[in-house]
Formats: sequence, C-alpha cells, structure tokens
Amino acid sequence: MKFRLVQGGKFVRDMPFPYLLLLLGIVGIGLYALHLFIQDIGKGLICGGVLLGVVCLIHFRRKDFHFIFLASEHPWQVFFMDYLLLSFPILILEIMQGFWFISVGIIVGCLAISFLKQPFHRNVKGFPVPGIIPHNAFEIRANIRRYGGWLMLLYASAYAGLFFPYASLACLWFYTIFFLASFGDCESIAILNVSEKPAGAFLRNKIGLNLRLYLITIVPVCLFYTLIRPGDWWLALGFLVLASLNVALFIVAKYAVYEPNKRDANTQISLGLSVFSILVPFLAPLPLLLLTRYYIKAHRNLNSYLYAYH
Amino acid sequence: MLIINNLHVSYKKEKEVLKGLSLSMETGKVHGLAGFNGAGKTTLLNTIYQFITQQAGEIFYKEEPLKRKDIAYLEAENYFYPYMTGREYLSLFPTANKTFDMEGWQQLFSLPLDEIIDNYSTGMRKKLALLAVLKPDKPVMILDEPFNGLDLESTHLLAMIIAQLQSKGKTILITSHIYESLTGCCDYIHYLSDGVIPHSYPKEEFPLLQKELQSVIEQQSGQLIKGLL
Repeated sequence: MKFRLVQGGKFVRDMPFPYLLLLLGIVGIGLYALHLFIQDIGKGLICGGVLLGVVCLIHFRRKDFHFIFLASEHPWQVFFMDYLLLSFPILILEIMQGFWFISVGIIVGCLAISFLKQPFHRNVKGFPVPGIIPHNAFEIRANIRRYGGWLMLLYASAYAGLFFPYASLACLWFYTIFFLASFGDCESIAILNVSEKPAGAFLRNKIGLNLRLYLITIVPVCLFYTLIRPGDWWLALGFLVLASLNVALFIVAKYAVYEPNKRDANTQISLGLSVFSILVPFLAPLPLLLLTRYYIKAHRNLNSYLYAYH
Repeated sequence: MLIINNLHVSYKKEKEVLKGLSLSMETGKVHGLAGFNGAGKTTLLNTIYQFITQQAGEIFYKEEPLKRKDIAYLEAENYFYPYMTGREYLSLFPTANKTFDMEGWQQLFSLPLDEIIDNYSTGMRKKLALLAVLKPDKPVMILDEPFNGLDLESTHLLAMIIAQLQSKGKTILITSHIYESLTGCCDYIHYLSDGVIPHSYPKEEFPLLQKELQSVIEQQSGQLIKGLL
C-alpha cells in the first residue's frame, strides 16, 4: 500500500501542472457522471459488475504478475491492495448512494480475483493477417495481429454507420486511433537497415507505403459516405486529409525519437492532441505543424543510423 | 584483405576505447576476437559496421573503403518487433542469391517460422537472427557472440555453417566468451587488450594465447581469490 502511494505521489509530482489539471478534470467529470448514473440499485450493480470485469482483465493481463508471484511471500495481498486502490472511488460512490452491500461485494470480488493465477507459459497467437498486406509493412501486420478484432469491428461499424449521420466518420476516427498504434514500437537496427537507403528516402518510402495501405481501407467508406450524404462531402474530405496527416505524423514522430528496440515511442501528449484535431476544427493546423517539426527531427535522428548509406 | 589502420574511437566525454588499433584480416578466413569484458570488442565491431564513427583511422576491404552494404552483422542481443512471425521477419531481408531455401533452413534449425517470435526461446531467436544474417549473402560477416543461448546441437551446427561459409570465400569475424568455440572454428584469433591488438595468433599458436590469457587472469585475480576464500 505504502509502495503504491509513493508511486502515485511520484507520478503526480513528475506530471506538468497543466496536464495534472487536465487529468484531474477528466477523472472528476467521469466520477460525477458515475455519481449521476448510480441512482438505483440496478445501475449500482451494473457499475460494480463492470468494475470487477475490468479488474479481472487487468489481473490476467498484468505483466508484473510473475515477478510479484515470485518476489512476494503473499502475492494475493499485493494484488488485492492494487485492486482495492483502483476500486476506491467507486466504493465511495456506492456507499454514498446507500449501496454499502455492493461495495462489500466489490471488495470480496477483488479479494477472490487476487487469488487467481496466470498461466506461466502463454502462447501469443494474434488475429490472422490478410495476405494482401505486404511483409515490408510489418508495423501494420503486427498491429493487426494485436488489435485485429477491434480494427475489424470498427471497420464494419463504419460501413453499418453509413445510414446514420456522422456515425461512420466517428467509427473511422476510432479505427484510425487503433491504426496509429502501429507506430508505437521501434524496430531493431537490423530491420531499419534492410532498405539500405539514406534517411530522406527511407522516410518517404515508409510514409508512402503505410499511407497507401491506410487509404485503401478508408477511402471507400468516405466515398460511400459522400454518395449517401452529398451535402457532407467536405466533412469526408476534411477527415481524409487530417487522418492522413496524422498517419504521416505518427510515422515521423516514431523516427524522431527512434532508438533501436525502444517500446512505446509515441506517447507524447502533442500527438494525442493531434488526433483530436480531426474532431476539433481550431486544432486542424496542428498535425501539419507537428509533421514539419517531427520530419526535421526524424531526418536528423535517422541520419545517425543510416549515414552509411549516403 | 580487410585492413584497419590506426583506429581511434572514444565515447562522449569518456576515455578512449580504441587507441590506434591496427589489424589486417585475410579475406576468406575466420577471425576470432578475444579480450576481457570492457576491452572494446563490441566497440570495434560497431565501428567496422559504421554504427559508431571513428575519430581517426580507416577501414579498407579489398583496397577500397569498407561499405556497410558489404557487411552482415549479427548482434549479441537479438530483439524482434512484437507480434511478428519468424517468416515475416526473414522475408524483410533481401535474398542476394536465389538459392536461399527458407524451408530447408527451417528444417535444419527446427524453427516454427509461422509462430509469433514472442513465443520463441532464446536459442530460437538466435537462430532466426542468424538466418537473417545469412540470407543477404554479404561478403563480410560479423558475428557478435553467435554461440550465446544455443544448445549443444545448434552450437555444432553453427560451427559447421561457419566452415561452409568460409569455404565459399566469406570473411568472418567472431567474438565469443567461450574460448573453445573460438579455437574450434577460427583460423586466427586477435587478442584485444587496452584498445589495441598487440598480437594476432594463427591456429598453431592458439595454445600460446590460452596460456597468456590464463596468466593475465591469474595475475589480476589470483591474490584476490586467495583473500576471499
């Protein structure tokens, strides 16, 4: 418990003040919305059930499970404390509404989950990748294997949503977010060197290939959308342009901070804002500005790895 | 010949790692690089691969400046992109000669190429990285700790592969912490000490090198071990 509080304190201290305010605002709004939602026992139970489902998911996916299991004498205590801390705001909300028994149920549920074990050897399989995606688009192939289910669901929803105003574009926005996750990890130096091209040519090839594959999936939906709602042609066109800029931006942002084998390279908040620029009109110039800035940085950074191919 | 002339390499604000290193390596031979931890083996390999820029010195291959395009480099630590299969990884690397038989190699190394690499064992990862190095068929091969993580059978297979590559005229530079694996497959061993190569040993002088290494270790640590135990 003390360790987690120290970790939490460090997280808060390290976060810039405006982002902390933003985070507190988002959490506050979320909790207030939950407070309004939990008005009767049925909704209280739904909330408790969803929370336990989330805790269960976290428990079976957490990467430190085996470390805690081996390092701690009573690992269930560590897990239980984590889940209790996570559930704390909802426990309070349930008690405030007089549903103390649901809170007790959540605590018992967290305790039970803490005793469940993860298998030691788990074979990762992943979603099947369509053969039409070339092997050199390895980021997209790996991403489909990881998030293929979500991508398929959102892509199908984008077609289903053609019959409702804006629904299609909203689904495509979420689809784009999952697509952009392709460019989160840095490849090894062996893969980087495969093309044997200098930095500029490498970046242009990379952007061209990935953008082409993205547009192949997204243009048909936008075309159908324009055919069904001709008055909204500018919306579909704006979406296409901004989403494409974001794809290019995420690629160059990865190489701007590229280090061989680095994980989670694209975590900057500016990139998050750029994705929102598709929805918020006054943020529209942001992707273009960031793209220019990161392209220069990526070119400079890649030069130190690919200078031998000049 | 692969010739290194007066190579000086230092990292930012730190002391010099390679201090005017010079070395001549006969082409079509297997060269071992021996030295204690921190002697600069990986720095030398990274400089040959042009991963690190030297402050001074030149590297020539067949009387022309060595190009990265001529080198295949197997790193000591092998990382792979997450959620990628072995077959996908190998298909990224171009084949110089059309005879690269992926299925044959898969059979030889018993690699589950259609599985995600995240599920591979350390030895399987090493073998996959080795295949990626072999596929482009480069004339110069740098193998940094290629025997790490390999089981007995694969170690023997690797020694056989190295011998076959040598017979095809490849110039191979190998490092290994296991002395026997170097003596087993190398024609020359170059001893790296304090940023220079004071002496290179041909096959018939390997026992001499072993004696020298042992005497250095005994000098450095003998008294300390006696004090500790």
